[in-house]
Amino acid sequence: MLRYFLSALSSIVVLVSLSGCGYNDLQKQDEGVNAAWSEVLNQYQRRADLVPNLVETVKAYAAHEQEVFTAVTEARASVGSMKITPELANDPEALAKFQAAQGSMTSALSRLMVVSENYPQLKADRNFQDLSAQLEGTENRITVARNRYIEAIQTYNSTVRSFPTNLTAKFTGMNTKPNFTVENEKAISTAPKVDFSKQK
Amino acid sequence: MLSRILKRGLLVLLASSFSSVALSDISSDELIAIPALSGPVVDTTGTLGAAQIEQLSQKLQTLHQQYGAQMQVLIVPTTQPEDAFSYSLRVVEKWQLGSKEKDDGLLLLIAKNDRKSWVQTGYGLEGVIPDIVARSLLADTLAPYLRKGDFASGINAVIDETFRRISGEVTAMPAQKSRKKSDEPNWMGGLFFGAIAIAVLSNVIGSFPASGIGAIGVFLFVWLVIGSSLILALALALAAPVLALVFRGSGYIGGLGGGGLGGGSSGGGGGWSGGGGGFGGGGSGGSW
Repeated sequence: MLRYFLSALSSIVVLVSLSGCGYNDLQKQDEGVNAAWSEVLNQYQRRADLVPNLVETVKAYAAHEQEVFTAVTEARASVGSMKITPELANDPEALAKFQAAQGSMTSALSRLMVVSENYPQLKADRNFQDLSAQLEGTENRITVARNRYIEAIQTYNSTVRSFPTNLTAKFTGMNTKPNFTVENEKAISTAPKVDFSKQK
Repeated sequence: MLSRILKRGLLVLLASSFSSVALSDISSDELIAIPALSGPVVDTTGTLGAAQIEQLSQKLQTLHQQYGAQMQVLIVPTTQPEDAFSYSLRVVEKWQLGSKEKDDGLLLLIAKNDRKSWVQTGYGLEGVIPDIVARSLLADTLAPYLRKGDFASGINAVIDETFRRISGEVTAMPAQKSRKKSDEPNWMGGLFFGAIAIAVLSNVIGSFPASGIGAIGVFLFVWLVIGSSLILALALALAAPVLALVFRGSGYIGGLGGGGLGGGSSGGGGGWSGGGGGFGGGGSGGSW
């Protein structure tokens, strides 16, 4: 009799802890979100690191485009002044601010690249070619990282919200996380991309 | 009575855990379909002759064996409505070129009618083939041949140039480990579940058949459902009855048979397939 009782008890414990509550799923997806988030930060950082060199190079040929340089420098300063912590991803307000800052960086940089189109000597500069290829690649990587983050958040949030995992989530204090908002719907499918090979 | 209820409950739970895995694979319509990965050179346009495909494939196979890096050529008529970048990213996400450990895959995409090309570099090759190099591969190496309509020579030149770089830096640079997939510990659950099931079933149908059924169950679950390696699945299948012994807490020398079936090969398909390599959008595009 004791044997029956023990096996029944242990099966219940194991069943509840494994198949029922989805605790492992939650943990795994939470970790997936964190990994995707650090990739996003990583790529944004990579872009920010490119800026000083890029500005210097363009300045050498197009010194009087002061307005564009100011915009880029300001955007970089505002990105740089943000305190990047892991908690930032959990705070909708901070995330929106982060997104806005990075967005203004994107537009300032693309304006810089458009301006540089007017300077044939600049375009022929080896250093500039290198930097613009790096910028293009980084923008593409940002797109990929952002899309993967959005997907990771969707998976995590739907697990947190659906039954019965929502009980586990509540019990262990895991909440839904804010996602990147897409200003225009199309931006997800046709990502903003810098492609300088299109010219001519 | 209790045991019968338990038995039925276990069966239901097992069945439900199996059925929940049957996720539907949502295929996005309207976009250009991704062709099957039939070999190192996939050409849906019929631009290359059979002999040329054979020759280039042979070369890529050899280089793959020699250096590990897996380079793939894909020629499609068009990538519309997507651009070359988005399409090629979808392709590499599906094909997962390169090994899982090194992420050393590379895709050369040529969209013939769009007159566009794209190189997608796996995480592990971003150091040897930085974006500027990828761009030059397309603009300086490939494009002159394509303007003359000589696709085979152009692709051949890109292969040479790519592997000249890869071989020059065989000492693999520290691969970006930004997106590693960890082997999920779910098999632990499978093992415990199986052991409990055996322990319970043993009281009903005897320990020998129970461990047989349990071992097979664990094996199938771990191997097929969780998707762990064959060896791990076999090991767990053998471990489950032993663990059941611990759970039962009684003298038990039951057979550890059962794990025997389903040895066959796990790979399937031809000799050319992706190894789980990851891509993060590295590479560059070109036109001609």
